[in-house]
Amino acid sequence: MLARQLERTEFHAEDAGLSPRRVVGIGLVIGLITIYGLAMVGGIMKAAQGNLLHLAPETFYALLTLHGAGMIATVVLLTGVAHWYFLREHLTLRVEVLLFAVAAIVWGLLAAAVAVLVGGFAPGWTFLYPLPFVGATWPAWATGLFFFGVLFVGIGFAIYCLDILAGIVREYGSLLNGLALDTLIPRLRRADGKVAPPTVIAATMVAIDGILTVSAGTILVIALLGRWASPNFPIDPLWIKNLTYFFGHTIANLTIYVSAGVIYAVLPHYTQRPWHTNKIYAISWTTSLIFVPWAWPHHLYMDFVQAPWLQLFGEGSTYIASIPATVVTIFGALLLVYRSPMRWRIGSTMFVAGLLGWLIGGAAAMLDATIPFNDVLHNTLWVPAHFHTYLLGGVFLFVLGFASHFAGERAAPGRFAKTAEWLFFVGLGGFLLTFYAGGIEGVPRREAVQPAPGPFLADIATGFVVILLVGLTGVLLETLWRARHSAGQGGEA
Amino acid sequence: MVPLEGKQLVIFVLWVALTAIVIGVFWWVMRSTRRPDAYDAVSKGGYRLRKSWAWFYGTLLIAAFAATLWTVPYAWAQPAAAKRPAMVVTVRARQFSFSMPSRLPAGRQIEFRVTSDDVNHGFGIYSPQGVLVAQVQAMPDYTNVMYFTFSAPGTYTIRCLEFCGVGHSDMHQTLTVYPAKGSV
Ligand code: HEM
Ligand SMILES: [Cu+2]
Ligand SMILES: [Cu+2]
Repeated sequence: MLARQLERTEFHAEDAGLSPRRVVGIGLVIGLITIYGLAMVGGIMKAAQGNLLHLAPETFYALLTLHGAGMIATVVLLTGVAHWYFLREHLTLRVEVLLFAVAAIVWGLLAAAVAVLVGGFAPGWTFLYPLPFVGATWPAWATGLFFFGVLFVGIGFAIYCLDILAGIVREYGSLLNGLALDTLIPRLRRADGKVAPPTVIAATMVAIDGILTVSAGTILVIALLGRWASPNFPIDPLWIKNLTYFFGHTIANLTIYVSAGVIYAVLPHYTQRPWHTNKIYAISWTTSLIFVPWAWPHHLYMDFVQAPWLQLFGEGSTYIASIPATVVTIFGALLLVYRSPMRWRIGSTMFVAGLLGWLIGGAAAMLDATIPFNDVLHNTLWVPAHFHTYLLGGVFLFVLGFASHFAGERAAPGRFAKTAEWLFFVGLGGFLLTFYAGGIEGVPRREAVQPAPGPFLADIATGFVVILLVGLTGVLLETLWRARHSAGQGGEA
Repeated sequence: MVPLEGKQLVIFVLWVALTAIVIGVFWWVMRSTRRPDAYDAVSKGGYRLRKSWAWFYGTLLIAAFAATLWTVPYAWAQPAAAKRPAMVVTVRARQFSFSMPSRLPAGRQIEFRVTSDDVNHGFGIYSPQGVLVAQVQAMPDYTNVMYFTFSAPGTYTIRCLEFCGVGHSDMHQTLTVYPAKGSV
């Protein structure tokens, strides 16, 4: 049935004038509107944690669940379409598959939104078992619907990954060549000398680990649906906690690796310098491929019953996974920018600022992933502080940068764009600083009502969020305006 | 404001230092685009620098990993001698309270055996000044063992540190730590 439906879409896609650029544009617009809405939800949560707004706890936790799950699914969508746009320069990918993936993720998001906004589903975006079932303030249908939503997002991402993997095998012969391991292993070398460029290497890693993650997520959701259907369904709390974070951590983490693929493709346009594959890229992306899926145990450091080897392996893997990012991708990007004839546009500024957010958030993550430090950081605001630094201050900036590039940038930003950008960054920086301050002060995360100094910091944060949103509105308007004035041409000159 | 001390101070200093360095490097790289040069001219030095950076960073990580082996909070990492005289205290968490003693001695090692009757909770200990000093998860069907010694008497706060439902932020209670005989 699925195949038939796919066939049907395939048939109609071209008739309906759905060019690849168009589908990417649709994904981009839906994603950006969703993020904008969810960012406002974030601001409402901060205001509620401060003294500016009162929300009943069940409402607060429902919004928290919506914000978290919605944001993760949306950045998967956004980074996915952005990377796909560039991958098409190297691989034969089918626009119908992308359309189907976008639709699946959007349906998943809608299901989750209904479960939360109508049903009041509120166990946090990680829905840690047995919380969705014990002491629930929402009806059972909301629980089931939310899990189906998660499943849909997973299916969308998996299909996207599969099409990319197939494309890589068609074009480069094998997945090992997709990782450019032919630069290391002479036996793999192709007669025509074709080597995967960095953006394809990134895609190979993301698609393989993506399939792995979605498989884990599917087992997780099936187990939870089993429990949903029958209260006697046996589930081990420690086992499912590991599985939950394997899925949740890895899928969120992968968005930064998708972003890396976008950076490899975009930055050369702005710096006017090429980004070539060499052995180092093959080694480092293979390292990421292996170790990124092993970082999840750092979410279970405070579960002292967890096997010691898993705790230490999680710490070691987290450390190792940071090496390719800092030594190869971020360093490589900085080298590409250093003394280049850089064209400073909204797009390039966003990309460089995003790399900065990635590094700062990454440093905070490394501190948190160090077991004796995790002891005083786990489940404090330090955790949302660091992941907002590289999701909001990293991945989202890459998405904005891509949107700007996609819309077409001919001239340097004018006064309006510069002011908007400036407001956005000031709001962003202030917002993140208050988050870190709360974390170091021991304020717990995920609390409707926080102990001091939580509310005080939340009031300040709300002010910064308003500035951020004003700036963001300006940046988006500017991008929209540029898109209108260069309709259909694409790229930047 | 909660005083900045102990591990939190170390973490904060490290993070501020790292952030300052990173911002400095970015600022320098961004400014460098004012005087462009050929890629070939800069990439050679860049690759050399990358090599040194990789060595430095790798060594740093190995050192940090080794250091954590001695400082993890787990029972298996505590020397056997240190564990023996511990006072055993059972903590049962449930939506939305802890059942545990309301008074405990200072200066004596305590073996907290922490579990939960329903969902996942957290067991976080906040000092009288409000500093988070230790935590462990409370999970159904499992018992987490945490060794902890209250360094000073006073009114501590026990706070749930895992989202556990609608009453999560109300899940905290006080703990009186009294001075023990023969200890400070
Ligand atoms: C202006 C933008 C944003 C604001 C104001 C905002 C605000 C917030 C707030 C207040 C929380 C709750 C923190 C707590 O007390 O535990 C939160 C949680 C979260 N945010 Fe954001 N956020 C923003 C953007 C983003 C972005 C761009 C992403 C991801 C791409 C994101 C992902 C998350 C996630 C995953 C959570 C955790 C939800 C949970 O604990 O279940 N946020 N955010
Ligand atoms: Cu609790
Ligand atoms: Cu709780």
